[in-house]
Amino acid sequence: MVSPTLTLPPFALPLAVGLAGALLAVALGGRNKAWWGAAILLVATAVAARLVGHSALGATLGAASELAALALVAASGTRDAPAATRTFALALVPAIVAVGAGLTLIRLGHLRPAAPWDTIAVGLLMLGFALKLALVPLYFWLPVVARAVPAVSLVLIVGVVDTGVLADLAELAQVAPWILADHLAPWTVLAAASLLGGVALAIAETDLKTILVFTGVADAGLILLGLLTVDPVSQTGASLGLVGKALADTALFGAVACGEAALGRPLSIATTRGLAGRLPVASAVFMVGAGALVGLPPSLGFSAHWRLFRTAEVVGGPVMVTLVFVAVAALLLVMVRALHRVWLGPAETETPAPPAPVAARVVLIVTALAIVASGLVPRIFEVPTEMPSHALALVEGTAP
Amino acid sequence: MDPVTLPVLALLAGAGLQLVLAPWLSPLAKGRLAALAAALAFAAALALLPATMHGDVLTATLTPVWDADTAVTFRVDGLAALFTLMGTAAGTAILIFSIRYMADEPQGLTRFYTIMLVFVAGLLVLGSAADLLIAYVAWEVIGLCSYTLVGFWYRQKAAVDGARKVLVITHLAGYGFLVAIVLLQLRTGTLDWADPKLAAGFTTGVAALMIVSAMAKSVMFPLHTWIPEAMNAPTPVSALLHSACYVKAGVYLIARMYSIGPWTPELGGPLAIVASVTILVGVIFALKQTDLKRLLAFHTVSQLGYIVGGLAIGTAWGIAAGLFYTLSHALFKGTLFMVAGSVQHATGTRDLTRLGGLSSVMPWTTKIWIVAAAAIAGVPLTNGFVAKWLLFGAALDKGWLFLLAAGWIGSILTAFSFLKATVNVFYGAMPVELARAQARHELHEASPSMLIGMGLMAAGCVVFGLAPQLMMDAIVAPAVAGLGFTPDVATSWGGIATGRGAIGLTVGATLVAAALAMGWIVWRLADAPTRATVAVFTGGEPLPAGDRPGAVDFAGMAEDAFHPVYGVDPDPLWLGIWSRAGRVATGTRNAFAPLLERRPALLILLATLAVAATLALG
Repeated sequence: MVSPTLTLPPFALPLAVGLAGALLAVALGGRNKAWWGAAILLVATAVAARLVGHSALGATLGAASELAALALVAASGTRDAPAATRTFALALVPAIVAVGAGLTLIRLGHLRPAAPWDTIAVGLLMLGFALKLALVPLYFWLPVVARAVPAVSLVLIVGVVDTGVLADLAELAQVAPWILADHLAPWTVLAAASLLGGVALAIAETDLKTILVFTGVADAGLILLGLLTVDPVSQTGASLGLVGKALADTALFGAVACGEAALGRPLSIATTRGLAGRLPVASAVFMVGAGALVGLPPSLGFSAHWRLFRTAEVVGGPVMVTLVFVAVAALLLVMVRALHRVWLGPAETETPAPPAPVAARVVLIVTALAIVASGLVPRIFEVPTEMPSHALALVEGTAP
Repeated sequence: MDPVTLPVLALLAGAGLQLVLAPWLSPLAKGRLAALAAALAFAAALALLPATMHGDVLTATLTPVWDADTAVTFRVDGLAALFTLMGTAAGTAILIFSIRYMADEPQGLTRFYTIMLVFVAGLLVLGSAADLLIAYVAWEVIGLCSYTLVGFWYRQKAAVDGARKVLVITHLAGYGFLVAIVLLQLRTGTLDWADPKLAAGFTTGVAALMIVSAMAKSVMFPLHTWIPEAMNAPTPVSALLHSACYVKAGVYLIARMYSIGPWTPELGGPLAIVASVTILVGVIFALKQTDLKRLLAFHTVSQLGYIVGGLAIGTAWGIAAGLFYTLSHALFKGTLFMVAGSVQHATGTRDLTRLGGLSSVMPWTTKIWIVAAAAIAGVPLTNGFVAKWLLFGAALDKGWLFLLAAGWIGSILTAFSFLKATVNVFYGAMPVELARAQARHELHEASPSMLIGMGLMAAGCVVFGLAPQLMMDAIVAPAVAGLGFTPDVATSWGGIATGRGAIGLTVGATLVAAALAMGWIVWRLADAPTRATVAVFTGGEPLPAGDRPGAVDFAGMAEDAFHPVYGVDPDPLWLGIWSRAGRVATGTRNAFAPLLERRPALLILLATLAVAATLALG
């Protein structure tokens, strides 16, 4: 993650989300030893990657965390898990190789190689990050994985691993801004396609987990937009968006995990109705998470979104602002539809179901409070307004 | 503790205490605590008045740093004081009313009172925020409060459907406000309402974005359709939403825009036309309703048309009229909703076809209703009359006869609509079901705390109708001055204008009064018919079976008379856009799925080639 101004250490976010995911898994039960092994490895390597920071070791640990996510999918024990693992591997392995090669060519961003190697490096990085983040059009693995794994796994895959990948990209944007700034058009197209495409895919979907992962793609597109300029306001918007996304994902997938546990089946906007009567806490937390994802105040999502609207004006003028407005408006409609179909309103049956376990409710409440509290003090997540000197030198062309 | 922040802090402290003390408080105690917090906030707001009356601008910082370089700073000028007073006064009365009204609610009372207090606090922050970004946060916070309160009974489909509509329409339009803020910040580098630099970036486009947001919040046609659907909320929520804390947010934004710079030359006229249409559409739809709360909701649409019309005029007179109307509307509409709630509380229904004859059971409630109904209809000696008087004068002064005509026709139809509602609820014979309930002693007058809540607001309608100068001099004129205008209109006893334009209006009114008096004399001198044998004037329509024309008869008449207007429903347009977007998204996904989701290796290969080609081409 981009360095915050105050004292929140970079590893705090993956650690917090990882703990939330683990506690939810304990509370809701049903996970096997292999799953726990993969989950612990995933969180530990992600935390270590952030502790080490932007370095070869950090990148390696990040890749290890991504591979642990692959193991987590394999260990899910569902009927679709093997096929999902294969599809995920088909995306992840080339992505890790591409990013690794790209980073090697540019020496982690500290060197700009001569043409055409600089362009090749950018191409590798673009392809790798797009695959890792399931940006449109390279999202093929995401719906398959979302349907195959329980929601609690998605807390870790999306909340920890995806956030880590975005943080890697944000760090790279600070260390080597030319990667984005000198190739603005393709990155902008990628961001815009993910923003609009993610929402469109979510609109066309009925499985709640898949809807949520697609909205995450749209959110990643918005965050990517914030990284495209060297403007500190935009960088801060991206940084806040990243933290806000992790918290929102934890709340949303956590609530869905409680719903899945209560009903014993995946939640669908086509068939699931009125869960709020059975699971009022999960319902309220889903509402908070949805608000954060959409950027409603008082959440960290708002602090990110107003900056990213500003970035849109800077990057693409009224056209880009309109595009972002359309995407965010559609995102709101998607989330409201999910909230009102699945959670609010009369229940599908009057059959009583057990409430969510106390521990799960506590985790969800703490997550919701974190979303609101972080929105009330967004400064602790803001990035420094000055760029590192070597990055400035690269931008200004004065680097040796 | 700074007195400027005290009203907000009192409300937030009340909300906090609700949460902390919830396990130990009875339902009545929760209500009393909330009402006490609101009353303290009102007292603190009153204490600010002497300074703002003298034109002082009070500032205080709540938190030194919030986001970016933004501090949460309050700047209380005349306009902020007006909204602070309105929010806390209406909030106090409605929360007093709620104590007994909500006491039997089986669950969710802590949630209810906490959000109600935050709702009022949100309006106060919006009105007092020195910074545009904080104002936007408050704007959205009251939106979220409204959403959760309208959906209070979240297991009922009608309630959550209404809540969804509130959120979707007002939030989507609210992005206009956010984009306007972003554009202003980019162009001027400031977000301070009072910074003169802001005017340089305040283009017509920026103003238009803000107006669109305000239109949705303030139920201007065609963005008004959320409000009748929000009627399935608890009555105190409806009262607060309609009187002070939600629909008035848009009014505030339109008024506050004058702080930045003049925007009316290009946009005032179109906005006044929208307001005129809204006046008529609202009241015509109200005529048709047989649900008492829906009827009141459509009257809110119509009344907001008057208010926004006044503000759109863009003169000191027009703004004074709009702001006077804002306060007056808070008083009479809050009262009307609370009476509707009392009726529902007593009878279990708000269906006009199932009501009647309640004046014998609820005499005080009836009196309070009549005062508020008279005020909304613009009967002299009520605040509603003064508000309309001022508005008509301002429209005449500007030469906007269309606004005057819409307001005039709207007033007549409003009176007609409230005649129907009054007769159907309180007079005539009691329907059989109610008569049986009365025989079982199940019908009852509203409780003392409910009567106090609505009685206080009804008293305000009379006080400010008899002595509008109290409101004009202490609250409205400083607000007008705070927006950079010289208040040149004053009122005296009964609403007689004593400032600019007084002669024209007074002569005109005298002529109308003289004409009416002469007509009455001629009618009496001629062979006037004997008194009607039924209690209700029917306007020449044949009476139905029974002794009075019922709500259905009125609704039928309205439908016959205004049939084409009832076809004006913008909702199918919004729903059509959404369902078309859904079809396009599904179709596109289905079309591309074979490549994008089922042939990953080919996709990666193609993507690699595309990236390579793009980068190679530079």
